[in-house]
Amino acid sequence: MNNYGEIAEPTSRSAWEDWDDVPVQNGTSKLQWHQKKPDPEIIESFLIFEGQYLYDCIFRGGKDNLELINCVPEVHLHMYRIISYNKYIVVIRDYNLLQTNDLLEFLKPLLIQAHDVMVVQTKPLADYMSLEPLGNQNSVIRTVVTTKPGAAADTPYPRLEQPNMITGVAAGAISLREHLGESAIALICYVNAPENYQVDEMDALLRQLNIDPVPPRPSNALNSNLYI
Amino acid sequence: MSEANIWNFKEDGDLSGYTLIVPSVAVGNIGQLACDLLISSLDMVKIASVYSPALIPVIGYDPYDLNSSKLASSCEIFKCAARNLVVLQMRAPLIYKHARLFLEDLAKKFKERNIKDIVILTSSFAHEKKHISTSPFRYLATDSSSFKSKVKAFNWLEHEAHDTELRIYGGGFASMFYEICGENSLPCLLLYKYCSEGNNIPDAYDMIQYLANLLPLFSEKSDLVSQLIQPVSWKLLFGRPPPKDIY
Repeated sequence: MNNYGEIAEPTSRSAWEDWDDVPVQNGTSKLQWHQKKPDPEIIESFLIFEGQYLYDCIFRGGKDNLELINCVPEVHLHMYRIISYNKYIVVIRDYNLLQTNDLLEFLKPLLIQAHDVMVVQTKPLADYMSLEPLGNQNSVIRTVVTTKPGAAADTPYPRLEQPNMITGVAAGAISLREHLGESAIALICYVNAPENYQVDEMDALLRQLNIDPVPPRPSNALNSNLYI
Repeated sequence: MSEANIWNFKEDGDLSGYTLIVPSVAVGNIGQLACDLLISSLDMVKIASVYSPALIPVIGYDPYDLNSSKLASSCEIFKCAARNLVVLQMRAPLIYKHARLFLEDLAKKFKERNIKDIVILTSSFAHEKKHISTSPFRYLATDSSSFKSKVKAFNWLEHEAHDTELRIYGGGFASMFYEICGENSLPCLLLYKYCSEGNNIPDAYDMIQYLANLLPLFSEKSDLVSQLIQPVSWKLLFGRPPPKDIY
């Protein structure tokens, strides 16, 4: 529940197409890069950053070490290369869950070609299921690792506990690599009010990639609709 | 598109004599819950998984074993050799525009492996039930289905067709897959229950009890319900426990 009195449907259920009516084919045009460029020939690491927090970190932060390679503006997808490395980052946010597979098919050649894949996804802390009380924690980081371990498999973070699952492009990238017998890792950052808190672990990860994280701007607006 | 589907079969065995159960992602998710119960209770072994552009991707760790480090994805296939049973579990909805090609590929894959017959489990909106004092279950069977004579003997109620096209409101891809099975000469039984969204675990138990009339799923020596084991992943089906400091 985001606001007082709001009835929240589980996201999977609200995204479910109504099979009883002929579904409207919304936005089914084929995705294509804004600029016609050949795909990179060698990709050492392919990273996917999914979610508003990471999107803001990249867009508001210093992009001195990042070179914009290409973008797909209609789905808020941007691809950067980390200068001086052979690492590529795709940043993505706010896409329709039903578009996930179109995005994955679009990124598939890069996901197949990359030596190693890492996806980082931010999710609301309220989505994290655990029998243990969270106390005053503002963030929880968990991992999902493919059967074939990659270079980043020995992270200090525990693996995602059942029944938690991830979905979206991050889940698709891990699933595709698993089915191809290749390595990949997902870092899932459950964060409480990402607009107000800095997630130290995420910042440390960005620094490892030579990206300067930017502190979030505290919001002046009340988060509750109780008094508005 | 069928070339885009990646099927990872861990064993290439023939499935002659086996029945395949396929749950449709439908109102209340009864079919999927029933399959979860079967997989957990019969200690079924994963024999395959599939990656397809038709499936909304989900991934996590094995929902039937908290200590497992094996991944679980949108669509997986489980086998119980002792019961001649194969269950295809779906953990995400199919995308309509890709669904037919995926389901045709699914029918083809199991026809190649000589599957004996297919049972589709689904559900329909409770408000669609016209005769309120009757059983909430309905069935539909192809002429070649080995279960047809059994369900007739049990006096189960057959699906009433109101359109020329087969429609089960809220039933997801069930009717589409039933037609595809017919086109591929695969014997098929479709079983559904009228229900509403909510806690649908009791509906899943009912579905298993109904199914157990047709298939020798559990021992008849003891009560069926006592033999059903809920998967560990159902523990937090309704969210986290309330914070202790509110009391």
